[in-house]
Amino acid sequence: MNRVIIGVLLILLLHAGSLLGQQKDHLITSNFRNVSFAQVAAQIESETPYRFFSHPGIMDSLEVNFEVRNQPVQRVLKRAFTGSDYHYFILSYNIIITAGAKIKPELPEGFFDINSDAPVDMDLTALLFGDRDKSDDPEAEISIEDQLIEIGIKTSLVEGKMVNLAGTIEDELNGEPVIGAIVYIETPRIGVITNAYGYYNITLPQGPHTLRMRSVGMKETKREIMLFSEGTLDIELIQNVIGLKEVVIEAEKFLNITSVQMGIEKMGMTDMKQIPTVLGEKDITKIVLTLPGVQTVGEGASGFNVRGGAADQNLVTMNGATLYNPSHFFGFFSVFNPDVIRSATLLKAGIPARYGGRASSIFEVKSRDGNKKRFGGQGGISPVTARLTLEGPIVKDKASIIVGGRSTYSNWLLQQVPDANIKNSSASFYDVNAKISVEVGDRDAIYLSSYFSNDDFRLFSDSLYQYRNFNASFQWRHIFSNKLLYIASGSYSSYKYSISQKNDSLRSFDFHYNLGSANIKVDFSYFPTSWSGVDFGISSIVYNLDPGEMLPGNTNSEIAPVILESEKGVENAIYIGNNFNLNDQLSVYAGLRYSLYSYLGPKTVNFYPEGLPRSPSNTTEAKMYGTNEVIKIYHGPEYRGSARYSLNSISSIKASFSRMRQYIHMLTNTAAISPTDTWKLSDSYLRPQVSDQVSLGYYRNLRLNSIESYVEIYYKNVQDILEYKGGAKLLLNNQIETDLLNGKNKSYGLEFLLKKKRGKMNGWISYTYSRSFNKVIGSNPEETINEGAYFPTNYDKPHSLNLIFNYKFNRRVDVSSNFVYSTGRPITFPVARYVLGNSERLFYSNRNEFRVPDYIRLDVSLQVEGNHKVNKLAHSSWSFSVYNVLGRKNVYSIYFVSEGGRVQGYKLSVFGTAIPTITYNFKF
Amino acid sequence: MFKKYCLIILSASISACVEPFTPEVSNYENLLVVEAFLSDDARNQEIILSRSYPIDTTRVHYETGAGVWLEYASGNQIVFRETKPGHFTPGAGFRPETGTSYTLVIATANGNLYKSDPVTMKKTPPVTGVYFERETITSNKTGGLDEGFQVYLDSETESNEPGYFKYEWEEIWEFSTPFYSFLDYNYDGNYAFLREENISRCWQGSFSTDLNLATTENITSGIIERQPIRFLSFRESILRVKYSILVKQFSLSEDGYRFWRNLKESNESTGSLYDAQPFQVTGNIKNVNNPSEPVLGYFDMATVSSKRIFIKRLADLPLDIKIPTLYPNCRIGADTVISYWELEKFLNIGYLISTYSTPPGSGFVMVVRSCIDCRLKGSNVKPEFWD
Repeated sequence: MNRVIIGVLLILLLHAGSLLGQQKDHLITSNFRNVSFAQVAAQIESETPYRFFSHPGIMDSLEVNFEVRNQPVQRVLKRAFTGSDYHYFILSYNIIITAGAKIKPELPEGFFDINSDAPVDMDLTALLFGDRDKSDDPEAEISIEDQLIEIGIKTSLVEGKMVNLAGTIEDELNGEPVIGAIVYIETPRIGVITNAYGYYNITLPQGPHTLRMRSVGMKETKREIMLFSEGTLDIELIQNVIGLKEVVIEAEKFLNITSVQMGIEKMGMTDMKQIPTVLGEKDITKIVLTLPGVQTVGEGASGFNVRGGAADQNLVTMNGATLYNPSHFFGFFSVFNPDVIRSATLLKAGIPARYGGRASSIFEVKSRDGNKKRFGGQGGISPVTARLTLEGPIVKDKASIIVGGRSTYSNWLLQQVPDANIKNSSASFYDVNAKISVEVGDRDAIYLSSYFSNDDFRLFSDSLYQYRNFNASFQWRHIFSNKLLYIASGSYSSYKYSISQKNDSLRSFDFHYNLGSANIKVDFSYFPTSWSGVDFGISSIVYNLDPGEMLPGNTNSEIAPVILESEKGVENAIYIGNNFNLNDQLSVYAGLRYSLYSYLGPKTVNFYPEGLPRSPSNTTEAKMYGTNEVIKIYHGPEYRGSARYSLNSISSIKASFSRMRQYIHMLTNTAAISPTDTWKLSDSYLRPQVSDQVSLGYYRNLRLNSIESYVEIYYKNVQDILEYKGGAKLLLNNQIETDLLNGKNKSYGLEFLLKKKRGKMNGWISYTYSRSFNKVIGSNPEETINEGAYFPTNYDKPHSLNLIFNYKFNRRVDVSSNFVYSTGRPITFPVARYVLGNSERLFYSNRNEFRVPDYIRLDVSLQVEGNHKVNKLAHSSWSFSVYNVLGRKNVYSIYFVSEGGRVQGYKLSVFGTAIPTITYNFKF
Repeated sequence: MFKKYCLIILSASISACVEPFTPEVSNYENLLVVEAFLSDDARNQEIILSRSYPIDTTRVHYETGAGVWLEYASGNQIVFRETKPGHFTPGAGFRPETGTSYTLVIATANGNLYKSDPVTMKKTPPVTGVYFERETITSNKTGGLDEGFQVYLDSETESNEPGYFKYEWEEIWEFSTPFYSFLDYNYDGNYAFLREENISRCWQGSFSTDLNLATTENITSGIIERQPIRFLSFRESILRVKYSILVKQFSLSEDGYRFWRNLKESNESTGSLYDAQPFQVTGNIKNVNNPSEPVLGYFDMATVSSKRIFIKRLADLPLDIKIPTLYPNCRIGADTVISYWELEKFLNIGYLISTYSTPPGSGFVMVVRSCIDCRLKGSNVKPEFWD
């Protein structure tokens, strides 16, 4: 009896298989909007020979909502049942609909094996219908996941031979490449991560594999492949609308332990959601500040300090183009529009050879690609700012555009700043991002992006300040073969600011500063074998800057025009880096970058006698250099290396070394970056900054990988850091070298991070112990600071603790909080009073001998989202946040003023009270 | 929703974020302070030596018993004598010559020898005008608008080299009490008599404390024009009767200018978010045996050029401007009428006699001293240049 049934089934199944292949493509075009499945079935039956078989209740209870255009019937069914508990099975032109269980088209394993333990007396239903409890994923994508995909030419199969498989992973919803997705097989354990363009390249043994993909915010999926020879496989991932955060951990857990890279912090939109907003704006740089090893001088300070480095030692890029002033509005906002940003990556240590140009860190921000499938937009409104982003396809599935803008419309914020100058001021900013992404065939993609920002502010002295960033970049990615791809990119960055006083006074003036840089680079990635990958490339940057021009502001003005000579420099670099997986435990990266910098004419260079203080009065000679004549060349190798040793599947040890050279420096003698700081190229006197860093770390995931943790220690030495003589004049100084000093920096520290991203309660704890010291010894006392001893830098804050806590009450309501503690920053204090010129004066201590009181702040916020229906017209959310709930007056600076002959000390805090904000966000 | 929210914001932010602060600093530097700006004018020829004092105290400690002299033209000396503790003056008739180089030498009582860099006596170009204009400014302290007279200075220059200047001023203004005291009292004879001295018209003075510097570097005309000197607010009482300001101009060397600019930067222009970091400012005087010892102050020499102007209430102030009185609490007061027998009792608790009450012989009109005696706030000695 059993034999007969099996025989019938076999015939049926074989027949079904052949029919599946033979069926003609019957295409359906229709708009199914809120209709029952019965109507869909009716349309299919009327247009095609297909007939439906099911329990009548199924047909009516399922409501569908989608649109199809020239789609085969199978595709229509797939769309209809995605996310439902129904399954379909096609047998010839018969479509069988089942609820809950699905019909299995193959026989259980061992069915035909006489020696197997499979029970001979089998239950027919168990044979025909899979047990849904055992199924990994009862939802959609079953059919495509189970389909066997044959790759390559069958005849070239050689057992055990390794071949290459490559492709791109895209978001099914908008066609955007999925970055950092993990593509892997379980036996043997081989895995790779998609690059910035969603491209992956994996080397596998020939034969059958279950290729699995995972990524942040995406549903996990797999493909059954039969790999015969080299080939490509593009995969679309489906956004995981519900379990966003759960997936994040999976991805990062993998990276954390197994990647060779250390000292890396990657942030996405999910992280941005986790911390309370400041003044209603989600800000990716505020997350950076909660991470170990990152410090800031205080609120209103636009720069950040990474592992004891000055703020100008961070290379901040947006889609590959350098941003020279990454802040708006006195540093309260960053220039990054949260609706446009896809991700930000901070590299603190073990920096690959591909990157260079700054001594401390690389902060790489990437914007999203526009939605390739449909038009959409999002935005938000808070009492301070408003923003709107629109995106959509230019050519469906091929080219898309995204444009986002932001602006502030409120001056009331300035009234909160306890500074008479700022109180009587006005300030505004706006910025615009645009990006076009085009796919040309399978092997090429082109990205064009541009950024523009403008800040205006007027101080009560009726000076108008204005600064602008403009960036444009293009990137062309070309895949030569599975083993070689390259990215050619070009970018132009410009930063300019002006200060003008356009009244009718005799001192009315117009001051301008201009910096432009153009960068061309080509980066190759080559994967010769399964256990190594090589990156190599070249880069060239041309800098042109006008250090300052002062012009009379009106015809009556008696301001004499001063135009400082322009500066020009070229920074070239060539690099190669190689990643080896020596065995399952040990993975090593070795890289070398060689950079060569030339400072070019036309320019007048002043000379000073040896041993005497460099001062205008000691100038011995001025020499003229012609156009493009080389004035000074600096060059040197930059060694990069890192290694990872896996102790087991949940812990590893990593070590790294990196040398970085920096040829452009920011001139600032204020504690925080101010809007009038200028960038200056290395010249005959100002040597490049060269940093050497070693670090060592231990990484471990706890509690079934739901908690990740690490401890890293580092030691860093920087040669030729920039320091200033007391009272240095940094603007309009045509002998700026007489006010600048070259010194040394040493920094060391220990960083600790414990991060839980899974579950209702998540967040992270980061603690940093770090020290950073500078030392300046010149040939004479005037060029020496603090008698040549090491002194703490402005941002030396030994203890720093951040607690980020997030609790989800349900899918629509969550609260988050951010607690910050750090040691007060060093300042220079008065140590004596005296009377001179009819007034009391102060004599100050050695530089940075004292500290302001410790910094403590707590922020909280509550997010309430609208309902989560996937097909709503617009999704909206409200965010209520309170910055500095404790209302603690954290001291930003302590200063002393002689007023009417007496000296009085004051302490200034930027936000002395709790600042509540409300923001409305929407997305459509 | 939005409106309500803004109100919350505004009410929450009333508390100020700048608070007075007194630091606790244990290590204190006791340093020599030299105030030495010498001019051709005998009133500007004093050298003052003092010591710096701890940050939490206010008393100036003068450096006494030092030997102070100028050296010039290889071997010549001008010795300064200590006239009061820490104050040293040359003998009468000291006329430093422009173009001559002088070195200041100080031998302190504890045996240290200090010497300045040689300094050339400079000629200060004449002040061509001091004048005032009605202006409204934004007050630095309150943030509100403030109307008043801005005093400006114009100057000439006598060379093509950039000039560096320091400005100082002395002001004096006349004021009077709301009541006049006609009578005084003789305690010995127990009688009232006509007061000879006018104690209701007085003068009060003040001088500049903030550093006011200017340079013609980067000025096309090469001259100082419209240099702001002092803002006289209509909210203050000083313009109520008559006001006078003497503005003095001194030439500086370029190094001297940098010294004073640095001192100003690290003492007067702090408190914004983007302040330059304060730093140690030392001048051109050094300890011969210990050059790294900081010595505070700067030795410089230049002739003085000055100009005085007057501002008269009736002639110069617009009629619509009301200048507040110095005696706002004295609007009522002349209503204390007493008999002769109560006179001494009232005098003893701080009243003065204004005049006899009417009808004559009925008693005396008494006024609180603070409303009738201007000498409590100034001096009733008329300056010689006053008319």
